Amino acid sequence: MIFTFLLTFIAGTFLILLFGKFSFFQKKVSPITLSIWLSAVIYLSLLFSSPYFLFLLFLMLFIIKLFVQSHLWKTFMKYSLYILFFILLFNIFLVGKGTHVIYYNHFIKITWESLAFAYSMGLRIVIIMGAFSIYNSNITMDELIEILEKFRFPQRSLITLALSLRFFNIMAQEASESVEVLRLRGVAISSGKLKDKIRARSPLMSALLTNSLERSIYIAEALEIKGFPSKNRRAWRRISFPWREKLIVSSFLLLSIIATALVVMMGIGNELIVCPHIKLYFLLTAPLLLLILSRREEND
Amino acid sequence: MIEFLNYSFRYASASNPALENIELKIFPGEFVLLIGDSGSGKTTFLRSINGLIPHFYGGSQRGEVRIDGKSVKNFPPREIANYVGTVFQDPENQILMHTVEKEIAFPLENIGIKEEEIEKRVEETLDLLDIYPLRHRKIESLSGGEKQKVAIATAIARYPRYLLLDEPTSQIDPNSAESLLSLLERLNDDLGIGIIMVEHRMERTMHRADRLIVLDRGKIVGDGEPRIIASKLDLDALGVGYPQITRVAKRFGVEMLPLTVKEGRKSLSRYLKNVRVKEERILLNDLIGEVLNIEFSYGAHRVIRKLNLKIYRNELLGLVGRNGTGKTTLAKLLTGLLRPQKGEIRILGKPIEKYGEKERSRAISMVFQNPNIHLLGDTIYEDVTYLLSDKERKRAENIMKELGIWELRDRNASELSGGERMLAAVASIAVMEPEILILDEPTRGLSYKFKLRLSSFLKKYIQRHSVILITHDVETLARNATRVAILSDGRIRVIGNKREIMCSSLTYSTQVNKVAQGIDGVDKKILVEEDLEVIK
Repeated sequence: MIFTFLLTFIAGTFLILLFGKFSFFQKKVSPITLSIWLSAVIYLSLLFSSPYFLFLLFLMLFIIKLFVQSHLWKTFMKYSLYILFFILLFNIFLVGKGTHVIYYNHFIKITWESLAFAYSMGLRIVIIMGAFSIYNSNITMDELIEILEKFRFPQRSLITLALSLRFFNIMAQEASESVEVLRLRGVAISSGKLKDKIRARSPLMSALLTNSLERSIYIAEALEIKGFPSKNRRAWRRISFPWREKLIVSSFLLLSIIATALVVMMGIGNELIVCPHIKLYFLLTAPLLLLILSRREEND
Repeated sequence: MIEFLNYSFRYASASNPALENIELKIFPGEFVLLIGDSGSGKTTFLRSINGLIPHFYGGSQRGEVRIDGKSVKNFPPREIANYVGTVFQDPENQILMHTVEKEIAFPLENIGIKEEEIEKRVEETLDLLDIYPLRHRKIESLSGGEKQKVAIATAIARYPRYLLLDEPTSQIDPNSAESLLSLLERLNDDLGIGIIMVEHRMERTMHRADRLIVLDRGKIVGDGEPRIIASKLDLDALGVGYPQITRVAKRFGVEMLPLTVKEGRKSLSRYLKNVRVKEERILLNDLIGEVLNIEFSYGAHRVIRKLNLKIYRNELLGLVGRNGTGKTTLAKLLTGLLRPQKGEIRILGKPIEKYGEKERSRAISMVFQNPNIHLLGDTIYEDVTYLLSDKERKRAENIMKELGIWELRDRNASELSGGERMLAAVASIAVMEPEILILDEPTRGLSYKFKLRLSSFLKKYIQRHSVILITHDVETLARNATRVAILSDGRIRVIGNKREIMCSSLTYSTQVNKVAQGIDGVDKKILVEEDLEVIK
């Protein structure tokens, strides 16, 4: 039953792909579907505690990645690997709860339970980061703003968010070029103690601040002549949400409800104590997969 | 009709008026070119029309500005935008959304028109400007020229009667600029949209305009047909300059001034037959920089391929080529900001990676395209003298005087014009007296006056050191270069004496050279007016 449920979920995800940009129709999946898919993945990863269930969710992401482009995937997976490593170490050595002891001395107690818990925690982070990397690569900021506008978020806050995100990259670029300018002027930016490095970069702060203030005036001018803010504003929503995608989204929601019921009422998917059945080779599968994924060359 | 009725305006923080007693009418469908030196009031003029003055910028005002009979002070910019579209200098700072179609739709959404109407207008605007392929593109993936076209599309999506443009081509390359100006001409001819444009690139804009308005210290000193105004006023003395062909014709005393190369062929042929190029001797034998077979890639994208180059003392080496051919990357490799994956760079005989930061900055350094990133202090003087010893500060003073920015030393960069900022950025690097000074597009957006100041400075600089000038500005190149190299696809395709490379070039020759090429019996080596020597 458990596996039937998860396979159904995976099948549901495949449906997205069928209707997504690699389908026969070459049609981009709706950002609403994508947003609900992201919410469902995050919800399920937080709902389940069992490493087996979380591993299957992780596998689902892996399969999706084979079909979906994500220019952020490699970076996200690389950082996930580091995070996973630290979470495993931290939890294995410091949690120490449980009755199935693997190793014990006066200072450290490692149990199968702490191992399973650490594994689950790590996988959760990996799943969430992986889902976000797919989401962020396949949705534009304008689409996200449109969705939030549809849910009646305040206009001013949304435009502020859009502007902040748009100009963040420009500011980051300017900051990096300013560092290059300091190097050209003979400032040893990367050598010396941390204190020296901070001192060497201190002129950047006022310059970046001045440039941002100046830019904010230009942005305000542009907003003014483009008629913002306006009481008459009517958002142009191009996001379509066709029936077939509504069906897929309904299946996500239904599956999430069923999963919640299974976890809450029957405790399925929530078994943290998997020992002594849990196998080491199983535990190694996810980090290995992650390692492969983080090294996979992105062509997009 | 736009009317200025005895209009004066003074900014709250200023002691002198930015505009004084302006009295004029601009009719629908006119193509007006507005010129003037830095601080002459051009931007204030545009702000007074689009309502940013007095609704956004405070100050004292006399007289009024009317658009179609309505006083600007009685309705806010967001309503004026229905009559007047505005395009600013830097496309980066005026585009607010993340995708092209959403950006064009943004002002339409703010009017509150129906979604079907927005859809229609976005569609029409994209077609009209011939930018339909950009529709779904992210803004960050567009080139400067494409961004400026999107900014124009956004301005005209509301179907304004007038389009105001504040130096729209100053941040983009010449090819994109040409395409943009042709587009404006089409909007003016076909749709009757009135164009009021502030611009420094006289050779590209003067012949396109119906009317030339010249501002000087807030007052109108010339208003009329461009050819007549050009002959009446000394535009060089006003700091704005002429198209090169017009300047040469003025020098010969031609009555009917030419504004284009085609007109120049008719009016200048008999004069050019009486001149020749002054003799010049160039001796380059002190090798100070050497690039040996370098290669460089950004990820999988190879930018520099087996490139070799020699740099000599006392030369100004012009580096030209299309956008994206690796000019800036080469400059960063030369200065050690990037490291070649293969090959070697030697400056003064020593590999660049062997230099310490301080020592390297005295051997080779560069000025970026964006002067703002060079100006890190509270005042220009602080910017230029950063990390300098007391002894070196005297040198800073001299360089600032040579570049004409000494009077601005106590001002913050934000109070200066784009041209003044660029000169300050050049001073901030030149003050370290690097043996090789690299300038990346320093004349972009610079007025004639500032270009001349920079040219004069560079001529002095190469008497002791050398300069690499990356530019699309053929006139500045022709005026200053010793040698010119054409970079294409990561390789130096041709390098040689500037006359070998630029004369008869289809892309890199000056207006006067193009005229000379088309007339028999004229010295084909003429590039700039300073070259000329009368023989009869």
